[in-house]
This record gives sequence, C-alpha cells and structure tokens, in this order.
Amino acid sequence: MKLFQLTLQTLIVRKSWIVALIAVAVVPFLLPLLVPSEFALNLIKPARAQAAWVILWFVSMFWLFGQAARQGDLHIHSGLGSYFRSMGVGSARQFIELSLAFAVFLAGLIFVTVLVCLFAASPPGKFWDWFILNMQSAVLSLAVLMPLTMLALAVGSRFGSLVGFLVSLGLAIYGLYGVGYIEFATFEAKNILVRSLYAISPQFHLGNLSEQIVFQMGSLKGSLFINILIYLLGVGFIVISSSVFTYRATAKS
Amino acid sequence: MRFINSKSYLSLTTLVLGLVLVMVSGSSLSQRGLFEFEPNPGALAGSPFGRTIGIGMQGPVMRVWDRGLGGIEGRADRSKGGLLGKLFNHITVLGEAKSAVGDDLERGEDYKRFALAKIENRLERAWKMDPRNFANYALYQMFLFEDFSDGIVEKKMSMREMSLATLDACEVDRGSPVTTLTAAQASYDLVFDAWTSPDLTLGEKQVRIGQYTEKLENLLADYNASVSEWKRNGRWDELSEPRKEDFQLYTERLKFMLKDSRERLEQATSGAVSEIGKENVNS
Repeated sequence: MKLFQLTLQTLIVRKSWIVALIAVAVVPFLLPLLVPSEFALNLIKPARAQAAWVILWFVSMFWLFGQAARQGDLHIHSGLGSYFRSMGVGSARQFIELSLAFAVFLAGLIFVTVLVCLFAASPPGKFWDWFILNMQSAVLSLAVLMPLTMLALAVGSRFGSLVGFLVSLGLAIYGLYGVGYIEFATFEAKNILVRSLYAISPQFHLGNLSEQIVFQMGSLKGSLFINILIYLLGVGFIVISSSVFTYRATAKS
Repeated sequence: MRFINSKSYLSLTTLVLGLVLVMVSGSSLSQRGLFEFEPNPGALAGSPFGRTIGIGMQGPVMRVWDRGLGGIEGRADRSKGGLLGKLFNHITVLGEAKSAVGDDLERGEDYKRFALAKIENRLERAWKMDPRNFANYALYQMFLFEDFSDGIVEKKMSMREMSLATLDACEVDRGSPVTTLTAAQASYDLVFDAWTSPDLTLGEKQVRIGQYTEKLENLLADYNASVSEWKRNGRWDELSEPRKEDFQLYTERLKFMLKDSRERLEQATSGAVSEIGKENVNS
C-alpha cells in the first residue's frame, strides 16, 4: 500500500482539499442567506440541505474529477508508474491504490455533507427518516461518483488531465441532466432509436436524491433503494471496467 | 528602493488603483443603467437553438409542477419485450418510483410559494427562449391568467404585456402556420383582455376589440395561405397523420376564435360590454 500512502500524502500536501472542504462545510450556511427574504424562515433549513448536497456534487464533479485526472497524468509523466512497476506493483494494483486515495477524499466530503444535513438541516420531529434519507443519498452518490473519479484517473493517465477531466464531467452531466431531455423526447415519439438511446444511457440522476431532500419527500422504500443501488452498481462496474482497461502505468505501452 | 521592489507594496498599489477605478467608473456606468442587463447566454433567447431549448424546457416545468404541487403519472409500458425494451421499462419504473416516494407531507404555503416561483421562472424562460412556440406561450399565459398562486407570488408581467410581446415576436416569422396560430391566440387573448379589463373605457374597449378582431381575420387568411402553399409544394404530404390532425384542430381553433371575437365586437359596439365586462371581473 506504498502507492496509496504516497498519493494520499501528495493530495494532502497539495492543500486544495481545504477549498473543497470549506465549500462543503461552510457554504451551505452562507448560500441560504440568498433565499429571498419574502420566503419564510422555515425555508432556511431545506435550502441549507439543498445547498449541502448540490455543492457536494458540484465539488466532486469539478474538483475531485480534475484532481483525479491530473494525478493520473502526473503519475505517468513523472515516471512513478514505471517505478512502481519495476518494484513489482502491477498496473491493476496501482490503479486500485490510486483510486483508494481518492475514495478517502470522496468519502470524507460525503461524511461532512451528511453531518451538515443531520445537525443543521434536520426537519423537526422527523430525525430518523431524515437520517435514513441522508444515508441513502450518501451511498448512492458514492456509487455514482466513485466510478467516475476512477474514469477521470484512467483517462487522464492515457490522454492527459484535460481530457480525463472533461470525459468524466461530461458523462456525469449527461447522466444527471442530459438524459432528462431524452426522457422528454420519449414522451413525444415512440421512436425505437430514442427509447434505446435512453435505455442504454447511464441514469445517474437516480442516484441524486436532491429533490427528495429539498421537497422533504421522505426516504426511499427499502426495496426501491436496493433496486436503484443495484442498477447504479451495474453502471459503476461497467465504468470501472472501462477505466481499468484504459489505465496505463507507463508512458510507453 | 527596497520598498518599491517588495511584492506586497506592488500588490497593494494595484489593488487600491483597481478599487478606485472600479468605483469611479461604476457610479457613472450604473447611472447610465449599464449594469442592468438581462443575461442571455450564447444569445440563445429567441434564436433557432432557443426554439429547441424552449421545447425541451417544457419537461422541467412539468417536473417541478409534479414535485411541488401535483402528482406523478406513471407511464412505463410494461408489456414491451426485448432486452432494451425491458431495460427502458426498468429504468422508467425506478425513476417514477423514486419521484413518487414519501407520504403526503403537508408542504404548506411556503413550499407552494417556492415551487410556484420556480415554475414561473421556468415558464418565463421557456417563453423567452421561443415566444413563437404555441405551448410555451399558452402555458405561460395560462399561468398568468389562472393566478394559481392566489396572489402570493408577485407576477413579473401582465397578461397584456406578454401577449403584445408575443405578437411582435411572431411578426418575424409569418410563413409558419404554427407561429400564425400563436399570434392568433395572442390576439384573441388581447380581445379577451380588452373585454374584461376594468381600467379601459367603453370607447377604448371597442377600438381594441375591433383592432384585434381585424388582426385575427388577417392571421386566419395568412394561415390558410401558408397551408395551401404547403399543400402545393408537397410539404403537407410529408407530415405524419397525427400532425395533420393537429392542423385540423388548429383550423377549428382559429375559426372559433375569430367567430367569438366578432360576436364580442358586435356586443361591444352595441354598448353591452361595460356591463358584461364588470360581471366577468366580479365573478
């Protein structure tokens, strides 16, 4: 686990995580001040929860993916990949250790978000349900964001940091919002092509529970949660397998 | 000279210089109203791409409406076979179930207000993207007319302003039957507005109703002309059956609007409008 420790240390020393942490932990308390004052005070807490989760997704997509792509790029061009390979650490093992270092950051950010929601945005008298909803949101966002982070890492190692960042970001935006427009097209046309495109698109929006949190719709039913989780894990493993396939440890391969 | 060389001195000087420049120019710019602009990213609003986006935005509006105020309608078609078909159904069922969860919490006035403000924003944006789209116009117009919010949200535009703006926007694109339909609906809404507005005198009402009834007649003629033009150059035959049925409905709608406006015009000239107008407003 030398590479894991090294990567973790590198990321910590780079200190940009401080900005991400501030965004996740502090901005949810500042943003609701923008909610128009004509809205009553009891909208502050939902706004806080909304801000917390939206910022988590935002920070993961723009900061974490960027860091991962950059690290993948750097790992190859600094020769670290070749070095670890010569020490007997295969490229699959290297990829897993690198990914684990980013998993620590992602899990940390999600943990802070959940803390903010539990202790500063809980609706009165419904703490238990709120707790379950937040846990579900944590698990699902991890299931969506972790494979995409790994994709950024892998594509970054082969095609450079910018491409790695943009591929993951683009895929995330497509799965979160783009498919919504395709879904709308399936209302109109019974076109088999449109339907097929919708069916094979990654439905990352299923893992984004922001609407449930903002409109306080209550937690997902157990069976539904498991079904969504299985689906997202399926998509996640497809993304991970393409990442492993794309990743390279040495500049010449 | 050590002082000038230091980094902090340089950064401090430029900062002060920048602040002074911004403040000096800012006050004069804001006096001329240059800071008040309506952002239009990519010049999308009103452009051809804006039309596509305007159609696409009808979906998000429905979503907010469903979440905030209405219910969700299931629409997965479980009978279809095939692997992709099954996957499609599975995803659709999951998505619907996810949106439908939760007991009917009392969301209260605050939530209603929040959702309505959001809906109005999106309707307005969709309409701005393409005022010539019939659905965009009709949805926003209905929102303004129905006053779902019972006055809790301050409306940004009056119905009259919005209909007039739509008429202007439709002028550019006269060959299209759908644009003509939107323009006709806007004229008809203006007739109705003149009929019911308590702030107009009888004379003004007569003038306006007459003006927009005439406009409607012209639009119907335009519509007939462009449809027969389509039939002549073969574009009509390319339309699918449901589209042709739509056009049948458009024709009927246009004829109805013209007939109704003419009746109102007759009543207006005979002087009955002030009474009826008041009744409508009170009821």
